[in-house]
Amino acid sequence: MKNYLKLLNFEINRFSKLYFLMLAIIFSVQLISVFYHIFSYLAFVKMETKGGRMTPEQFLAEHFPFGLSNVFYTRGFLIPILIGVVGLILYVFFIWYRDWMARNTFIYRLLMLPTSRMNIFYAKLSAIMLFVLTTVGIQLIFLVLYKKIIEWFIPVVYRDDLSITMAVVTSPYLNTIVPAHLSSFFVAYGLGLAAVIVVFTAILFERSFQLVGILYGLLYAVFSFVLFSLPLVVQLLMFETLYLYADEMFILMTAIVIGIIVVSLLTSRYLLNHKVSV
Amino acid sequence: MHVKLNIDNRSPVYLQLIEYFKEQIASGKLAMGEEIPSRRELARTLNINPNTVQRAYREMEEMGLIYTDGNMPSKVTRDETVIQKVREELVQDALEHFVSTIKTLQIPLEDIYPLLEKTYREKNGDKADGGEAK
Amino acid sequence: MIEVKNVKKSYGRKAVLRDISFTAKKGEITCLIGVNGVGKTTILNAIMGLTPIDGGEILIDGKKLTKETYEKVAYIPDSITMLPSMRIKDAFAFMNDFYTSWNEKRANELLTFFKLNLEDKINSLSKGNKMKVNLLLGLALDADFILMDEPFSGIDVFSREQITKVFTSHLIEDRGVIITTHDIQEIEHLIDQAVILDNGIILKSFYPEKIREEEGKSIIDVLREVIDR
Repeated sequence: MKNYLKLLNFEINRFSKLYFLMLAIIFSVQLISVFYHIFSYLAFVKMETKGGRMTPEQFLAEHFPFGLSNVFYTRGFLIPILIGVVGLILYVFFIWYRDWMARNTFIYRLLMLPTSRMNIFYAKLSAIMLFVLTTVGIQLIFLVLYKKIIEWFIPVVYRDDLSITMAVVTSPYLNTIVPAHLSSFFVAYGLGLAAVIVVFTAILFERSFQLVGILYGLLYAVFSFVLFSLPLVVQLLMFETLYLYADEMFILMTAIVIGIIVVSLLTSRYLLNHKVSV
Repeated sequence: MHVKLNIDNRSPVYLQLIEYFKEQIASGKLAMGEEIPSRRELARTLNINPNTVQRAYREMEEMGLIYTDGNMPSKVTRDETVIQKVREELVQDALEHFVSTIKTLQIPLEDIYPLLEKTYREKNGDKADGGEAK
Repeated sequence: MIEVKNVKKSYGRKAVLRDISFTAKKGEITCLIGVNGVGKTTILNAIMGLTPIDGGEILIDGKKLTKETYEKVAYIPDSITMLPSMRIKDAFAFMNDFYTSWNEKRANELLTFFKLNLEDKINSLSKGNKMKVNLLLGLALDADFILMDEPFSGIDVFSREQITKVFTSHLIEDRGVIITTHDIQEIEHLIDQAVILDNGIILKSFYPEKIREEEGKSIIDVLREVIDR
């Protein structure tokens, strides 16, 4: 346990510089975007209501008030999120490959530590999950900030004071990463965890068998996905409709996902202990 | 003690070490009771395996050439008879080597004596060297 | 002792190790001799569990490799096993964190001997100094066995001198050492046992002092003989 924590600490420290740089980029772009849209809106309001051409009520009847939701659909908001997502997905691979790359033979040191090799796996897995959750958490904190900024600059009459919760829940992108219900939260992040575990296993296949390993890895990932979607597909094919109740589907799929996770961990352990090569 | 030894790759190193010490002791360059370097120091100076030095020292102790008091560094023997015996051995070795070389040339013994004397004087010059053949 | 028994390994179709057997005892320096690419590094990697073998077995003190073995066997590969961005003191902290057999006192002694500093950044060191740090990290462990891959190749003569001194010091005493080299000349007199590799097999393993005594041959003589066959 102690070694796992030490490795986790190590992994976190290693990525932290790059990570904070990424966060800085994401949130400065979002911040700038928020200001830009606020001032665009204010300029537009000024233009339309200048010299009493329109009253605020008339304006609001034709155009919409400004709130957080407005920001959510802008490129300046979504593209940074995309950058974050892509960055983290790349790191899922990079977190392993960086130890093997070029003149870096740090993988020798990791594999020769007097500790279970799965601790390396779990440390990298936990690090990824922590970075993902932290990013989401920080995004939420910034949402609070953006709301405050909107309150400061947009007069109340033009404001759409939707609560953050409502804004998030009604936004199609955000409600996937910040689900409304706790159960959905576990489902979404549980699936994410399973996906990362499957990718890690695929990576270990490649590191164990080189060229052929890429094939094995891909096959493994595809197979896992097929297994996962089996309940849905089978039902649709056989009955052309959903035969099972939602609850039953949920239990079945959870069981499948847990099965995939367990098999992946066992496979990874075998590969790490017996097949992986420097 | 400043050890200078050209090691031959084709004969056992430990024997070469022993030979070297024998020569140093017989010629008096290593005095009776004088300290010799520790195994590790010698290995380090000569860049050779400490196990080899260990073996040489062990045999020299068995031969009575050196002795070790507890944890103190090893010293050359104080026993005159041992040193004398070593001198005789070295001389005998040299003589045997000389004679077997000469034999093939089939030079009569009488002709050898003057040559021997001449060469000996030339080599020694005025220097009084230790370890003369008796 | 470390026993390598009938080890086989192939990379794809190419059989690098066809039948490798030898023993390295504690208190002795065993040297694997062979040209570059013959598989010396592969053997060391295999002993350390860093690459799987396709056949045969490797026993360390009679047992197969486990995670505890890493406290007993130190590996010094030919490139440094720490992150280049680390300072030497970070590397020390890392080793101290994970290995109970890490001897901080000895590590600092070696640091002084090699004239390096805790604050030095690894990526700012010369190749010779990097090798010394690598050596240091392995020697500072209270390990029974030390494996070194080409400790003398590609470094300047002064660094080589320093590293040679290590072999004749208390740091190596009583430990079992396996080193690899393609050039035996410089260390002809340092080794206890020589193991000649060629073409995936062991051509001959012998004790040079014994061969010198019994056959009047040097290591290089034996090499010539065995390769010509």
